[in-house]
Amino acid sequence: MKLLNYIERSSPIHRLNGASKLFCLLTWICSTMITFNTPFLLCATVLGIIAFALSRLKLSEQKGLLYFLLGFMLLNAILIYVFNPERGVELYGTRNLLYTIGGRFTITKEQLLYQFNVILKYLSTIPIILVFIGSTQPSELAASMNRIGIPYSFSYSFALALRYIPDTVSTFIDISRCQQARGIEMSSKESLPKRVKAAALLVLPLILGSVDQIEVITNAMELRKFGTQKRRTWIMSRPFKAGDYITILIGAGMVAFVIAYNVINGSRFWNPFN
Amino acid sequence: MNRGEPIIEFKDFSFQYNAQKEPTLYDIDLTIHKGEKVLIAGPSGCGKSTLVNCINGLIPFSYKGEIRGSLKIKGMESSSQSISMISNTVGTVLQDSDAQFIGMTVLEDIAFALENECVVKEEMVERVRKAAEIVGISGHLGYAPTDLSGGQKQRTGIAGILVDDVEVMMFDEPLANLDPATGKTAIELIEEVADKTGAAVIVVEHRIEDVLHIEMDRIILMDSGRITFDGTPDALLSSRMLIDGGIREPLYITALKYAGIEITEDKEPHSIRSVRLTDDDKAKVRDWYTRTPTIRPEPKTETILDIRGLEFAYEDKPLTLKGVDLAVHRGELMAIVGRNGAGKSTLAKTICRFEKNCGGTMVLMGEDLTGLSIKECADRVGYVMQNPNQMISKTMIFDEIALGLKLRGCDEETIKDKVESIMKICGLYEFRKWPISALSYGQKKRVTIASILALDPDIIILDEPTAGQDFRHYTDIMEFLKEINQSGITIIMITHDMHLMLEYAERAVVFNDGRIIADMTSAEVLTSPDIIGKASLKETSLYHLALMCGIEDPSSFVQHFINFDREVRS
Amino acid sequence: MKKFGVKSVVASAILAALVFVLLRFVAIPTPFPDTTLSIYAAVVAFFAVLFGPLVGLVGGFLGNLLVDLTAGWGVWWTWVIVTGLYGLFVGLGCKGINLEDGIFGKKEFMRFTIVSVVSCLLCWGALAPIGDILVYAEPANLVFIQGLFVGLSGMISTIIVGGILCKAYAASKAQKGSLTKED
Repeated sequence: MKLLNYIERSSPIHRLNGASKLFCLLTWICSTMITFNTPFLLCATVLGIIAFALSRLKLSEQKGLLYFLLGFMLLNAILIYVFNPERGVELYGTRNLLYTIGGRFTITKEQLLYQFNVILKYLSTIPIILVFIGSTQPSELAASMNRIGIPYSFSYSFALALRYIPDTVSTFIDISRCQQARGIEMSSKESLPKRVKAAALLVLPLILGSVDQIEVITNAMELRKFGTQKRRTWIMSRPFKAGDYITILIGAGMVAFVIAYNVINGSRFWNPFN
Repeated sequence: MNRGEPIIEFKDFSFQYNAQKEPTLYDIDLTIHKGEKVLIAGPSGCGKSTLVNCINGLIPFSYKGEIRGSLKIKGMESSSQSISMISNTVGTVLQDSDAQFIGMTVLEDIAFALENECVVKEEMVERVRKAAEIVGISGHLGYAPTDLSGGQKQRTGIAGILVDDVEVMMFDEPLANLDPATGKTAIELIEEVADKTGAAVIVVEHRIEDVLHIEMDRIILMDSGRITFDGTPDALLSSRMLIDGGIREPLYITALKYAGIEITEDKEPHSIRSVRLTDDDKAKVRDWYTRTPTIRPEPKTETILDIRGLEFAYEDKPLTLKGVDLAVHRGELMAIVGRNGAGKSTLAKTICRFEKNCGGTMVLMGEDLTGLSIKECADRVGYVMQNPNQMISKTMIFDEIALGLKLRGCDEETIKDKVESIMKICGLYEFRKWPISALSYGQKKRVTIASILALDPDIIILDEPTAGQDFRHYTDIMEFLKEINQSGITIIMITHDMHLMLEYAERAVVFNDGRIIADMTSAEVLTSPDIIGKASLKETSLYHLALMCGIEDPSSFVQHFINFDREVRS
Repeated sequence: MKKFGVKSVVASAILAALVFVLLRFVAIPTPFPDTTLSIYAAVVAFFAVLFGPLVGLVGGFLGNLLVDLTAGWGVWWTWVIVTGLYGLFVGLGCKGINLEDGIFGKKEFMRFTIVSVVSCLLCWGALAPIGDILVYAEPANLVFIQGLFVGLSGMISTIIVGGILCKAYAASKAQKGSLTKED
């Protein structure tokens, strides 16, 4: 089972150090989460698409993921509209009515801009997440996390999770089939509490077995000296090159811009209506 | 013998876990020298795992308890060191290869200890390369554990301790999860690495015949927390200590004893290749073989399950089962053997409808199984997983056995009668008020078998029913299965254990690359070099014994041994 | 707070793996159309009680993050962080319940229940929706209804499944000396 969709390829993005990419990813996500600056979000989206092109990953390799994602964004947009068609009016403080569908369902310029922003906030991060996962070897991730300042014990938890997820999945499949053979099912025929109890029976052997496994893995790691030093080195780490510094600058620049804009503008909304 | 300086020295050593009332180890006096090869054997619960944990430092640093006496590692008291200090001297490869394999790939796993010691990358790469070369895994450095065979994981494990130039390599049941031929290669590799590096070797195993395939300097026998024997393999095998200690003798030794030959040290009985037999001895063996006629087991003939052209593939991968034809007979005790990944488990899972076949038919007494759901199929064919803990989801024995019946809507009264009668059959009745967690591994196994029997299946399929069990538990589980089999239930076992197959299965079906390549008696399979090679099995030492003694039909000799052994034991 | 030692590192990783499996593979149909209930909150709570708040925090966070990274609905950071916080709160609130000693009686179960109800309300009833309002400026009524739904399913699964897990684990650690065979 392949967990993260890493695709080995020769591209400038693949050659970057995982740590600089991770730093850029995190700053990218932070800045797009904070801001409602539409031009900035548009730029970030375009930049993300350029990075995707540079990474030589193909859209067809991400198809399954992408359709699902767009569906989710659409659903979210509809939900936001249904729950509050005038959210944009509240946020921007003006009301430019374009059309009334009926009842409370109005279409305003403010609502359109607000919902466009929400979509952009997701859209601007999607390409960059795809690029990051597709171009960074899973083995390099923990080393990168440690490099950007996350303590190595937390970083190694992440590596171990990636290591043991495939094992856990296949054990779960075996166990769940045996339990189904005995007659445990979660179909809608039963009442909800009974279904939840059935699910508990299904997963109980998996979870208690995993707890036992923790002790053995801990022993194996202690016997090979994990956790005895203040730091550790990583065989998968790579040296920084010029491209890495540029990547870090881009990331830092984005956060700096967003913070500066918020302070100068006095609000995180880019407001064309005033 | 030319012994090097001592590395591990136990003196009047006792250990008691904090949570326990009695010590687990008593009065241990044991010295292991540089470059020695030592086998530690003993039944489950004899204290050998505790001894291992004392040597590698998990005791006293991870498991707390009271130590009396002294244990010095490289001349320094172990309790004054630390796990990581001790690890510089003693490298341990654990039994659980999935837990031992920490890294995401072979490369990272071998480098793991070095990373933790903050070795710089360039030096790490060099040391990893060297270690990988010694164990012969250099071609797989980028592989993830899911893409490796058991043997390759074992190699990675050894490389992972070799990067540190350890002076002692310790292996906890290294053969437990390997098929017979891979086990043979693994033990040869251990010898080879030890000779290359000069490290001492400690192997903990109860399959002593398989370990004695290489030259071991000493065997330590343990029982109830004490060392009961410490000497050469030849001395041990010419005593009665093994049988008294609940450990299986090598089969050729048992056969020689049956033939009336006294085993003495000067016969060098430690391996079938070394054992010296006089012409008189050989005549005795032939005489024993011909004294009574060898009766071959009567094959069963009534077909209960008819499998034709069965095909299966995981998603878009190539076929795992490539047209399997198999007629299972009523009342049979059948073994399915073959190398890892040959398709044995897939066949079992397909029969139980855990996996959906993509071609072929399976007809059970006139009914097509391929149309059934997993749950419906379970009323006809029961599947018992290798690890009982993965099947148990209730706290009490009664509830666990009753679960399948309850979920099938049986009334309370029927369930009670049924469960109680099954508990009696399975020897669990006296424990009926116990929580399952208080049971031993073997008893838990019985509970899982009982919970399957409660559904009245015609066939039960067991995956490695005795994996990791010592001789006593093995006999216990297998005799129990034999009783069930004699009550009319057809049993199919998937196994790597050649002893199990030889002693209990009347029919052996051999798998290779998704196809059945042989279907004959176990004695015939284990005396056919061609099949053995293809299916990664290992010929039984009885085969070599027969050849040594000039017996023309080794398979008949093996059959004779099985029949005779069965009579003696019952 | 306990040191984040080797065992915590491993426990967090295994918790993450379990959260991953439960979120991806175990979906219980609910009376509402097209909505399923996941029991991942139960295992986060169980690990938090057994291994402490930090393991609940790290494991819950990592598990949810990995699911979001691979499932294709995008990473919903506020909810990912809240899963970790839920582990943290349950771990803090259940300090002193020592499953290793084999004790999980009525008193402990009551405490576990109260702590998980409060944590669910805090995490999904308040923190996650507020997070969404702060980050995406989403309508309050929408996010609070979403939060309430997730919080309720977290509560149900934690009390039923988490309770069963704690009880089963404690039972496996209970003293075995008092048992006798019966004819």
